[in-house]
Amino acid sequence: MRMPRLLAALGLAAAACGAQGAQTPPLRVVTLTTVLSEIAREVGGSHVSVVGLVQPGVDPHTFNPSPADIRAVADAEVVLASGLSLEAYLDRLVAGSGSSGRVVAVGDALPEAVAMAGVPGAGERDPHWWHSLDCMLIATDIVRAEFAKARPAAAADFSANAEAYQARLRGLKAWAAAEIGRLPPNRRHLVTSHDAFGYFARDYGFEVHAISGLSTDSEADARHLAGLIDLIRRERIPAVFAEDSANPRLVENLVRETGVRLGATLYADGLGPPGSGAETYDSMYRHNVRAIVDALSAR
Amino acid sequence: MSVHDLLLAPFSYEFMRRGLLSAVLLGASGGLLGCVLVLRRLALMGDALSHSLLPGVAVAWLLFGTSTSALFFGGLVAGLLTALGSALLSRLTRVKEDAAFGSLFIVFFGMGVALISKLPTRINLADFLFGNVLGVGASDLRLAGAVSAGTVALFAIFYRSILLETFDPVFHRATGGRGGLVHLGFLTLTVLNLVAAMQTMGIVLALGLFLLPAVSAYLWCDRFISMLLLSVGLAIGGSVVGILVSFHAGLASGASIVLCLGAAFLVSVLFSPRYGALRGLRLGSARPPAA
Repeated sequence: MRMPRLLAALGLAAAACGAQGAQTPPLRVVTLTTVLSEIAREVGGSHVSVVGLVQPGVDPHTFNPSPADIRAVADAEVVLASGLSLEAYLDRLVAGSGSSGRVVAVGDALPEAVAMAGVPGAGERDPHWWHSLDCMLIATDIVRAEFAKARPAAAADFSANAEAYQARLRGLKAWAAAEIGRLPPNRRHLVTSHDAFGYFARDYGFEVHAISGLSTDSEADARHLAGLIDLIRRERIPAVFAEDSANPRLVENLVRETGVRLGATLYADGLGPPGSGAETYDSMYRHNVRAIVDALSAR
Repeated sequence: MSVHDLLLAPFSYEFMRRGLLSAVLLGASGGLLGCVLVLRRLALMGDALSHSLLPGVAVAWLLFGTSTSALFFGGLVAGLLTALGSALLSRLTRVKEDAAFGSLFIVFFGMGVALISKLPTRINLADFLFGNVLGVGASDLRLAGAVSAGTVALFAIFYRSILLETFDPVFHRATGGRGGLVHLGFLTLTVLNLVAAMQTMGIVLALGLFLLPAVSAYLWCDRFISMLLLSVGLAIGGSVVGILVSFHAGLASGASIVLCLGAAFLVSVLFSPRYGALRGLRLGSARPPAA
């Protein structure tokens, strides 16, 4: 799947060279999440060739780079990572590849104003920043600045592309705010498989009650699950949600035990695979918002 | 905290009752099976078999999604391929069965890891290894019930053959026993129990449930029947205590059950009056007699 895309990018680049004479080759970008692939393609346009290492539907918490992935990183001029410890393998990957490219952990570069503080006590920080549109807007700027640094000649194009993409993100933000506005504040409880929606919850005033922790790897315990069941009953929470890359068993048990509705499956850790109806950021975000509002507003 | 809060209140939740029931069911059959594995020195083979289930489960998930029966058959096929494959290799080539097992299971496990790391499944390695006894569904319980009942029934019916084949296979075969068949039956039963346990407990907990009670019982008993009964009792008791500890202390449930069984093993290793370490130390280098 990766090769045709790469060839297509090379073909495009060749065509561009033919048209404009001896031009600089496209900026080689490697991304470590599906969301960053989209940002890189949108901002870079024809000036970059993007290789996404983590395929849609693959859990980025437990992703394991292959030799081909390491080679791609070694060749890359810019490596875009989500940061905030989502890619536990990042340091080893970069060191192992001997890459001289610039590694940008986008989440780590987010300013204090939009980033979330660490979980009290745990010291861990929530790496799922792309569920906040404010973070997405700033992430787009971060990517634009990196691309402009690497290819100053194309800086104007990068800016224009970034602005067009940000305009769409702002449109999405307005739509989401209106959509979630239909949900009374006392209904804004999000019971999910793992703790991936902290940013979303902060932006829209939800309370998150996750079965397991910030990574899909952490295991739930019986007392915590019992506490969730009590909470669902006490607060009369109408629905719970499973996630696309996490095992749905525990969520299904919550549904069976409390009789709550099981909402549509949320995309917690990236975009959906082709044909899922969530293969772009816009459709992924709309899917999540609709799923949450539909399930929680029904009686 | 009253006795009610300590022992009964946790089981007012359905997921706790389901988790306990599945652990008890599989503990009963695993406790029996474990004794044979331990006595026939096949304990490590159980470990190898369990890891080889992964590619079957991954392929089944890709083709059929989360259905319990699909995952069951996927794991079953992978496990049987490993078991039969190594039996065949050891008969057709110079390679001995243990080496064949060791090689095949690594290949299978590697295939499984490659599959789940590249393909969009909702299985991760932690789930496969440690599972989640709190996520037991109705179909999982039916499966555990059927496998457990089948195993106990087979032990009851073929008790004599199993006893003979375990302690004196040469005599068993000389008197017309179908030793090869019994051996193959054990492998199949082990795979069945592992697959039934895998989805809810993960393979590490499943092995803990099979081996730890059996090894502990081996340290206390001289008669086969009493070892079987003690092993089953320990498996069930460890499950109950483990789930309760998990509830009250907020520990991961699978790990908590294994640790309780591990504590029983440690106590047995140290304090068994005839075969324990303390007695061994007291008597100097004299090795305790084998059962």
